[in-house]
Amino acid sequence: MDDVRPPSPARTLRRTLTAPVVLCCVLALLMSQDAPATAQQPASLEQAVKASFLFKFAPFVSWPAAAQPQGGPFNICLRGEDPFGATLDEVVRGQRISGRSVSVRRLGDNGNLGGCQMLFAGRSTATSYAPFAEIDGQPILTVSDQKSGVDGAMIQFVMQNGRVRFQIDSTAARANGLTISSKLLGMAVSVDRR
Amino acid sequence: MTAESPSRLPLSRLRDWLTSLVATPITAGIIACLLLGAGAAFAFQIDRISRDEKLQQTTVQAQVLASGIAAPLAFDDSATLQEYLGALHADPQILAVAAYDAQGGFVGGYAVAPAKLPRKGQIGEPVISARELTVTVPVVQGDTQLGSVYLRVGLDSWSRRATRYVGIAAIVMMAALLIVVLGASYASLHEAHNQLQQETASRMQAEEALRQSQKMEALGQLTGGVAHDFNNLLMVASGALDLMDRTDDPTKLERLKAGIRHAVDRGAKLTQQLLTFSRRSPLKPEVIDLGHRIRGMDALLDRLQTDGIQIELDLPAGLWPVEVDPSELEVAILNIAINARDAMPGGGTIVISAVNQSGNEGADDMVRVAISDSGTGIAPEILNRIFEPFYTTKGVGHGTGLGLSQVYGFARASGGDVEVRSEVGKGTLISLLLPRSHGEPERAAVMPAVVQASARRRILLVEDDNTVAGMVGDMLSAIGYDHERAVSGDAAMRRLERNPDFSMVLSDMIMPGQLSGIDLVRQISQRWPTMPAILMTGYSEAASTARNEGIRLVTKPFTIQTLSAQIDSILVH
Ligand SMILES: Nc1ncnc2c1ncn2[C@@H]1O[C@H](COP(=O)(O)OP(=O)(O)O)[C@@H](O)[C@H]1O
Ligand SMILES: [Mg+2]
Repeated sequence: MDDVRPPSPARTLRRTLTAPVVLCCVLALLMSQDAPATAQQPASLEQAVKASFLFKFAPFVSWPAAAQPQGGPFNICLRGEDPFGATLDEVVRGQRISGRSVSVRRLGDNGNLGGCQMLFAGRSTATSYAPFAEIDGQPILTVSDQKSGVDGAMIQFVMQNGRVRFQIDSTAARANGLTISSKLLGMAVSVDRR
Repeated sequence: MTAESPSRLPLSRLRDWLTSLVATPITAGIIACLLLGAGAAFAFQIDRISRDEKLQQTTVQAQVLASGIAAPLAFDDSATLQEYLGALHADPQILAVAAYDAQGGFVGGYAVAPAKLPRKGQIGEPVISARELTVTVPVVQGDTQLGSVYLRVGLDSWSRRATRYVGIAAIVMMAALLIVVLGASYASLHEAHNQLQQETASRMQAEEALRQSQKMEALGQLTGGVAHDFNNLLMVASGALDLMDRTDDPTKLERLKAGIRHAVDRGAKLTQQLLTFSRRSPLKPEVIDLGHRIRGMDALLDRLQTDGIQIELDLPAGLWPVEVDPSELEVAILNIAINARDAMPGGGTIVISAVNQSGNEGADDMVRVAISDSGTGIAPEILNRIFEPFYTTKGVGHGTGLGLSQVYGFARASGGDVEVRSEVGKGTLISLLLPRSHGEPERAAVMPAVVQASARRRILLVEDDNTVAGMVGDMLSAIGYDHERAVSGDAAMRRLERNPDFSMVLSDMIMPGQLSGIDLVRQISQRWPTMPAILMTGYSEAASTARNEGIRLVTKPFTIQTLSAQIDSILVH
């Protein structure tokens, strides 16, 4: 099923963030939690969507069996600044990926990557900040945000017509032993653009 | 003929039972009802199967959709999602389709009025109502549930589904109807068949009686001749006996004896032929040699040779065999010959001839038996009536009109035909055409020589008539057996009880006293099972009873040859 590509979506017709789904999501989020101070700003809507996407990438990616220690949680690690805050914790709460519980680990600028399946790199003021430097072929799905100026991730959030989209570097992913579903590739605004 | 083989019996009884069962209109009705019921059950079953199939099909359709929309649903690509869902508009059976996110929130979809979409997405069991089918399947990627798909399709209405079965129903109804009609007609046919069979049976009885009376009728035409003949024979015999008293010349005596012998032989032969002829026998075709058979009728045909009538036979050798009932053939020839005699009141010659007639151009090989006379001839206007039963031109007491109808019936029954050629004042030629048979004619046994006794044995001769007893006793002595005579069945039993020192018993059939010949033989076979017995008899019903019981018979009058052969076959073998 994974290689069934959706009939080429007409990206030009994409509408703005009026899609009821996102509103619903956000409203639900707003009502169900103690919204942090930042949540009132319009940026928080964007971050909420990104947090949700970040989690949803996982089902469309397959890790080599060796990278999946039995019993342990599925770790989504964050480096640099955390743009999501509690929103991400909220998104992953109670969820499971490949039968494992999901946990979010915040590593700071250069914490240990051991046990990470996904790594999101936020911005950092540190001059020697190179979040993906020591990955070196390990099967870790790397994600970053274009806005934060961190480059070299396999998946990078971009804004398009006011909506959150993403670019994918599937070659890099494959080089690290990860397989990204064609369904997800079909959603990307661009694939393998250098 | 009498006993059916036992293995066939229960089978044919079962068949009869089944036949009688099927042969009622009620059974046919029941079968038709069963057929209708089976048809309805079949349709119902098909309906259920097709519903199950529809459910499966719809579930698969929903799963395919779920897989396709997994990514658009996860990443809020509502345009792509709508494209997926909108593509389903092409399917008119889909009443509603919708996608829901992981929280159950509506993401996209449509519903054809009056159907409505649920506000929240929920996974549940499929729901089948009379007219629609609803399935919900999860949208799962990896094993993370991203949302759900709701799909509702319309089912064919009852009436539409029913029309689908109208064809089957029509066929089933027709079949049921056919069964009822066939059953009914079969029942009436069965009844008619039974009636017909009864009728046939009674008609066959009547026919047999008719054949017998036809024989006696033909014989009746001869009676005058028979009496006359016997008279002549007796005259010859008594005259010769008188003359024997008056002469001592051995050559003359020898000649007279030969004359008597001849007269007696002729008398015996005539009686034998009359008895055989008048015997009640079932219609039984045999392969016969026509020449031999017709020549064998000489004693009967001789009866017609009175008042200037001559009979000539022209029967060449090499005639093809034919398969006919011999006694019917004799009756037919006699009937034609009697008519010929009647047609020549002033005397004349009757010629009985036979020739092979090769069939050409597809016709069968036939043997033509022609009987001609030089008599009055038949007027052309009555020519087509002479074969009718009871048609006669002869006065009361002279003709019955049954002669030629027997001839015609015989010819047709044998697969042959009758031809008439006649000229008034000149004569008539009647031909019997009989189909050639490729079988071998049964040859009449040749007269055997006297079989001399192989050892001296004692035979108990049981006979009430002194003359016959003397004569048979002389025969036994001549063959080489000793004998002792008993005058009745009772006397024979008493003699045997005293001392059964005989090799066999030779007994007359009808005798005074308690025991008849048959009774005697039965008692002997019980008391002394190893002692054989032969009955001497003229033709009678009792003789056929005896034959059926397996009792050996010699038919009176018998020759010394026949007697010696019979005794020899019993004592030696
Ligand atoms: N050889 C024949 N010559 C002249 N007429 C004949 C001859 N054979 C049959 N017929 C005619 O056919 C009629 C029917 O014959 P048949 O059926 O034998 O009955 P029946 O002899 O008792 O009259 C006879 O009455 C006679 O008129
Ligand atoms: Mg006649």
